[in-house]
Amino acid sequence: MIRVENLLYSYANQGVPALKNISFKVNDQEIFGFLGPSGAGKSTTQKVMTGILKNYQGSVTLKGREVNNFNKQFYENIGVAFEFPNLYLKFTALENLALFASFYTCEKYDFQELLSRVGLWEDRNLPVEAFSKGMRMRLNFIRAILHKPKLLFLDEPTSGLDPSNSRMLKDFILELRDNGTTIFLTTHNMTDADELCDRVAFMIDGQLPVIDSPEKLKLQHGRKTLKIRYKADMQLETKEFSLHGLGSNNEFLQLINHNEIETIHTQEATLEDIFLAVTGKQLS
Amino acid sequence: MTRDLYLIKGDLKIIGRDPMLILSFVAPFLLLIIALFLFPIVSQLSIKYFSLPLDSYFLLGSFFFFSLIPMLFGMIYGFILLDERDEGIISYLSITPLGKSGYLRTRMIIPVLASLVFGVAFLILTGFSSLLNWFEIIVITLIVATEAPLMLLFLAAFAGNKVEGIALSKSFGIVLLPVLIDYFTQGNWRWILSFSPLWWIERAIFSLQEYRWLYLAGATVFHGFIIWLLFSRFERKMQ
Repeated sequence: MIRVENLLYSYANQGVPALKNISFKVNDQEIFGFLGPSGAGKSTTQKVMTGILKNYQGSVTLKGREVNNFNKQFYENIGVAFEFPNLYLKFTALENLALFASFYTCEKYDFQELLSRVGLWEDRNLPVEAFSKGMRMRLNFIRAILHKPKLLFLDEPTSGLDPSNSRMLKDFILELRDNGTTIFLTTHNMTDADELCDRVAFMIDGQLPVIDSPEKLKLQHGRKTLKIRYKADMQLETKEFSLHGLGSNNEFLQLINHNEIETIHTQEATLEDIFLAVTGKQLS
Repeated sequence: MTRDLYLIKGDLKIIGRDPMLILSFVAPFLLLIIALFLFPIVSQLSIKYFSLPLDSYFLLGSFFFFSLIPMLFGMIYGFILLDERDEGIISYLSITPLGKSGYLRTRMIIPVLASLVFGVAFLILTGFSSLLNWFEIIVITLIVATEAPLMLLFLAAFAGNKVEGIALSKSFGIVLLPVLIDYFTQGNWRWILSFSPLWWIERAIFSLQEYRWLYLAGATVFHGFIIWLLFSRFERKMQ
């Protein structure tokens, strides 16, 4: 479990703290999403949690151990995929995996299995500098999990991926969670967050005004209405009905019985809408 | 230690795929060949045709080459470090069991060890054993070998990227100039040249033997101080 209590962090040359007394916990085998626009403090939080940034105030414990007291061995349990794929560009995909794997003594995945899973096996002997952004992101992801970490930190994992690879990667992430990995995901992609996260936290200006599951948030903030588009006298019309008593709403029943229906949608709030409503700020 | 060895294995791959690093890696061997074979031939020809003995100048030339060796090894590792910093690899290594300290340890120690082995061989093969005893050779080479992390940290502390690093590595050659001036001039004013770490070593080798250990002590303190300054700046830049 990850537990963060009253975390305060300031960069050396900045007066305003980047993180202002934030507290949250991440349960085992959970995907916890950290959502917010660029510069909100998401990456800073991840850097503190992985021990890259020291000198924080408050408490950050991973598996009961304070981050400041990490020894090198503890990193056998942690995998990190940064937003920008930091790989040896002159090395091939296979050489990159082999070099980084050599730093770990724990059990590792088979490279062929990993590379095949993300569609890079055919390109395994190409230097990474010849890879597209999407290929680098996929390699970056498998590099983070090759030592089967129990805690996985992902920063914008689907950035630069086409829809099919994005789907493949998201399925992989869900599978890792189901197999026991705890995942901390930072993103400003609300679709990813909605699909992947068991709980999300909204981060804005170094603070966390909301922490809850996407489902609960959508229920809390959504309008319980149904929007219907239909054709009437060759014209496209739109009408909205309350979900309450919909089955006995004569106007609604008349409309669907006597008109050609184009679309029907319930008016649930999206995470993007909720973020805007709660923080007053757009995500991107 | 095993992790460090894997990193070194990776370094050899990096060097082998970069023409500039290959050249820098081969350069110490070329310098040794020049000092070992070319200098004696030119010296003999000079005496034969012009009756001009050049041996003492060639000894200074060999000292120059000897001083360049750690700088070249430091430059190679400095460029590797700049690339790794640009590509965010140092940040990544810091969250692996190798750790940032393990990474920096390897980056600093390997060029020192390479300079030490190569430097001792260089001094013995090029005739410095007539000027210095074994112990002095090892101590002097050890101090000169710290020019390698000095060069590496100089690049890491002041260069924003590899291109700037190449320009800066050329300017580092300025530390060689005081050695030349000191060798060919007289007077106490030459102490102003002591800003060059190599000046202390040149004095230790070429001045009176009674002052040798004094200069070597000064060289040790001076090198240590500069490395500490550069390391502090590098650390600040990494944050």
